[in-house]
Amino acid sequence: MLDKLRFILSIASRHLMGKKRQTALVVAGVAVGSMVMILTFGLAEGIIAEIENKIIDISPLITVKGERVRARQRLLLGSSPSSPNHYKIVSRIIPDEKKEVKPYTEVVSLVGSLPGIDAVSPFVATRGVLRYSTLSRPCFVKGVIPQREALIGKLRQNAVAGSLDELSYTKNGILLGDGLAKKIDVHYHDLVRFTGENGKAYNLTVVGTFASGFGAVDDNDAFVNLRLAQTINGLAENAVSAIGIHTASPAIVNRLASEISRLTGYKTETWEQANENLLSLFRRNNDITFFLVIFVFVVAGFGIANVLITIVLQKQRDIAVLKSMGVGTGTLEMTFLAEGIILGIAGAAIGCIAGHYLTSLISALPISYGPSAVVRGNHIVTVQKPAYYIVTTLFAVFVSAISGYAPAGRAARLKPVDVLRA
Amino acid sequence: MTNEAIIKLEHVSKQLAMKDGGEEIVTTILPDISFDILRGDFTAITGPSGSGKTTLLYLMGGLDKPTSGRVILDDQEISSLKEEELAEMRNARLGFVYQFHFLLPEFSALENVMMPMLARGRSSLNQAKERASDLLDRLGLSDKVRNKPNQLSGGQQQRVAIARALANNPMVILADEPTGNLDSQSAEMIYDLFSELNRETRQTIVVVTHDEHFASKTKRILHILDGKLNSDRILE
Ligand SMILES: Nc1ncnc2c1ncn2[C@@H]1O[C@H](COP(=O)(O)OP(=O)(O)OP(=O)(O)O)[C@@H](O)[C@H]1O
Ligand SMILES: [Mg+2]
Repeated sequence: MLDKLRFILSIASRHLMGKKRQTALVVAGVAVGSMVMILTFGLAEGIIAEIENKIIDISPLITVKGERVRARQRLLLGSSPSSPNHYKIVSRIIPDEKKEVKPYTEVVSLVGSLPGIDAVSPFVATRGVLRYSTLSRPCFVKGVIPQREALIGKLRQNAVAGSLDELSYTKNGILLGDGLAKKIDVHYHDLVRFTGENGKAYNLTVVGTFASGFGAVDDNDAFVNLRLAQTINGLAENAVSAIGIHTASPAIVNRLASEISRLTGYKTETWEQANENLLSLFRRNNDITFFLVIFVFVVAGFGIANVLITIVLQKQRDIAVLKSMGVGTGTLEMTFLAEGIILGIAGAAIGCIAGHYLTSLISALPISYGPSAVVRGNHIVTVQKPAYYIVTTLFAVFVSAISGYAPAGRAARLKPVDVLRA
Repeated sequence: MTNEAIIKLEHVSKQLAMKDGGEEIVTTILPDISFDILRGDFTAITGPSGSGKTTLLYLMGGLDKPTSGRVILDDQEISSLKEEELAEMRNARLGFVYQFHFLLPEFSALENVMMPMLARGRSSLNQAKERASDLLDRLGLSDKVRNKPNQLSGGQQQRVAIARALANNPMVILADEPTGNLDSQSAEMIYDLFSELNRETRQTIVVVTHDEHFASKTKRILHILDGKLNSDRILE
């Protein structure tokens, strides 16, 4: 068995060595394919990882929403259960019910007592238009208890000017995303005018700005005190629109989310569900990129097939002689398959090494994303995992084996007489 | 020496169909031929060019199959064997020498001779190496073992090819004009080698040749004319 393998490899390697230039070219082709694949893995997964990290950084991992899972059933039209010809019409939706968590303090203390919960922050979400002199912008405003919210969204660390703490002692204060602040050209301690959905206008003092790095957040979001938001939304003092929760580790998010929902009767949403659109957009984008990378391999595969067909054609006589001395069809087939696989492995090895260095190089470059980027940062985030190298190598070997298949079959089917006579 | 036949041809015919435009043209190379090659025999096949000698040799070696009739090699009918069995048979019991050396150009003389021994895992690498250098030694090529075929003269190449045919110590050696491209001195050396092999190891040898002088050194001459056995002469 081992001897047979050695026999096969000795012939295969001599064939390839006899075509150094072509072999080198094809190996380079496979190497480029592998390198691009490694890089694509690194970049594509890097984007998702960065987005996920940013989301985990700035938003609650679980949100208790102001929607009941167990709605009170309201009987609209009933009949006695004894007469089967009658229907029972039941509405699970109570039309006028407000989307609120009430009384929220109960839920907060219940959730806060669960193991694995780091922070609980009730909030009221509202919208409005922010105006400063002649400039105005629509924005999302979150009414929060600053000390509690600080534990959820790294707001303290992300503050650019002023601080979150200042918000807690400024009743009519507002903390703005730095993009939003720039758009209406306001600065620390400026007085802005906020018009809420209720049509009322409020004069608010800018207590600071923050930069989370997440474009959509920094350009559109602002924080005010919980009480102010409650007033704007017309909520009672013991009601909030939702409660943000941070867990000790992202791994327990799904389990805790359903547990909280079960315990409180409110609907919960995890950060992955909340950002499903964004994440799936990037995942789909990555799938398309991989599809394109596969074409690089297809081209490399044609290169391999081309070299092997050339070898088979040039070596017809040698193949015939080998057959006439009793080398089996299977052995010959394996010889040419081996030649393809050698090209694949060599290419993958070089490509993986080059891919590793290229990926590292790219993530080391000081490239900054523009302000319109989804995620702002000063370098490209990449991910490298052993699995990427394994998958790439397997794929290269797979492609090369496929490419070697036809030439190998051709060599194996060759009839010695036909060649030796010619 | 027994009189047992090692190769039997029974009413063998060989036709080739060729496509010429849309038409199929059938050429009969061998109409109907029968003869036996005995174990330990040293036979020359002679005849004019195109008479069917090579065709006959390939049929005897199981490289080609007859259109009709039977080719029996060491008591086994070739047509009944599967491809792998035939490969095994060629590897173990037959040695081919062609008009051109047909050595593998990427491999040294030694490696070329080792090839049939390794082809089906008959010997270990060391055994093969040892036997191959013995054979090359015997053929006067001990200083050329590392040479690639293109670093050898025509006569040397043909001797390496003979060494390769002898590698698995086959019962039958089939040679197709092994001296066709050689000068008389090199040719002479090869005649002597075949005679010696036949005499000493009792290997059965069938050699196709144009060369009257070579033919006269064998024990039997089969003369072929238009695919038919024209004469069968036993020599002293
Ligand atoms: N592949 C082929 N297609 C068509 N005809 C063929 C083919 N091979 C051989 N022949 C014909 O078969 C006949 C016998 O050929 P073969 O090679 O056996 O002759 P030969 O006796 O060995 O000749 P030479 O002494 O020239 O080698 C010839 O007429 C040749 O033209
Ligand atoms: Mg011939």
